Amino acid sequence: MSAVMAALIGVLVTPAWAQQLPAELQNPNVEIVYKEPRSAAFKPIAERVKQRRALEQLRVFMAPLRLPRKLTINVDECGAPMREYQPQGPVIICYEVIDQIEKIAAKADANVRERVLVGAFIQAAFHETAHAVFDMLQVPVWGRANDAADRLAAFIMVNFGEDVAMQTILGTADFFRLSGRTWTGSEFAEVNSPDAQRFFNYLCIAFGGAPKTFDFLVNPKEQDEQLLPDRRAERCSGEYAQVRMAFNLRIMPHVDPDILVKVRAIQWLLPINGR
Amino acid sequence: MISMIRILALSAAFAATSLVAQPASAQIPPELKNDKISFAYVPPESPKLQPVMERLKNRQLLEKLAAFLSPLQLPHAFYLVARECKQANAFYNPDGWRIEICYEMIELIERVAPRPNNPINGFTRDEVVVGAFVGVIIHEVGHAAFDMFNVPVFGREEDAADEMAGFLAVQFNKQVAHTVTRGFAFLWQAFGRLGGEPKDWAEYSDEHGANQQRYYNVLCMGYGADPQQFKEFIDRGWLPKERAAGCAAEYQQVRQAFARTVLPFINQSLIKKVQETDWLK
Repeated sequence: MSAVMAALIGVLVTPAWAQQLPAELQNPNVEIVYKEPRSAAFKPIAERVKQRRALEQLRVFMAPLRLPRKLTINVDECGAPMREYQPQGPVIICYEVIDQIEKIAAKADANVRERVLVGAFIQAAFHETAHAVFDMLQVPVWGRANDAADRLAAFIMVNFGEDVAMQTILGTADFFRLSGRTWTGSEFAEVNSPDAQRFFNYLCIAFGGAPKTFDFLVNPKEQDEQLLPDRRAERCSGEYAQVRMAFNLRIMPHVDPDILVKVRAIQWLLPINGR
Repeated sequence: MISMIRILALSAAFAATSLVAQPASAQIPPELKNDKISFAYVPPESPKLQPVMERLKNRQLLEKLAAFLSPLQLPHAFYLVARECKQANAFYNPDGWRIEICYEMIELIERVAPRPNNPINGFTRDEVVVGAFVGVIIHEVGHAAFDMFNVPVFGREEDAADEMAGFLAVQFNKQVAHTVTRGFAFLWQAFGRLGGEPKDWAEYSDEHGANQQRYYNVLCMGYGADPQQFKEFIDRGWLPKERAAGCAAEYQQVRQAFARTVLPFINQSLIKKVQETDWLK
């Protein structure tokens, strides 16, 4: 686990920029709180997340978004990997999900461990925040809310350059693949979608939005497997266009374009070694 | 090319034929007309589908569907086509602005429905044949509405179209809600049994949810709209309590999305008439 921790700290903290954040790149309506975990087991996780300034980064990332009121984002102990977002917030990223991500990452091949840690954490943060964005901006949501949050998260991931897209999308996909199992019986009644569906949903938005970057999902090198089947792949440009249209109609009007440019200009993640 | 027949051009002919060819059909209120909507029954090549087309014609399926959709303030032409497809399905074709209902799909629904006088779990043949069919068509109407009205769809469109079907099913009287919600749910359950559960990882890659998920989604929409009317979904153990607890919120999410993205395109005086009409009679 110590190798995992080292990787985590090494990758997510990007001190070069983190120490020189311009004051305007703060969202005045986003309040962040690291709650103390009750379980001793989560204390080291709490330390790592704090050290990485994960919530500070998320707040900078959200700087362009004009929110009508305060939104609190917590890291907290939930008793489960997820706590469903309730209207008015707060957004909660559970210590349990970070724990789960670290454990899954430890199982991953060494060369993808970093991206699982980073990508899956960002996925969890974006997914939970997406629910709050839908709520606060009164966005009409067609299609199951958790899938909508995933599609918005995936859309954001592919719009911050190739490095961010590769790390977050592939890290997310690895995470689902490694933790995922197929379902049976009344599991199909769950309000969430199975990891296997989420895996393909993220890959599809990625391929649809950045077909050159993610071409290998559909046209792999000989020794690799095809991660996104042709039948789904041919629909992905349409799926991406649909999310983009929805974003432009319902969220973009609440985004400050000048601040967005500045946020996009930040080098968000370090390029992964060996890519 | 499919030749389209405009509803207005044919209205006189229908007035004459409908007297003989409309046994137990609801009267279509004459004011439910929309110049932009046209329809066609395309004669099938396969002789065995000929009776299916005849049945649809006798029941005035497309005439009713056109009338049902007449309150839509459409940006352009919209076509309703019943045809042979060589597959059991229904489509919305955004390039042609048309809904295509396959004769084979009707055959399939009739095949999976309970036998006459032999209900399965309290589902009768009639409610499944009618309810499932209406559900499938409204699902396609959902795709059409999303496309024609530029509706922002953040979630998966196939689930959104099922939400449209489940939502519209409960905007009429209780009889319609009962028939369409249960009939549509039965269809997904039956398809789920026929096809089995997805097993391999790759089987989850479809843009549609698994039939099993769609079954629960339909139950949830009905229960969320009216927990009293659909109490049996809980009592019979069809809808697990954990999911049922959130169904009212799921329904409200869809209701609000509908109100903000589709309702503005609906003519309010015509929709009242549509709601008063007994479509399933």
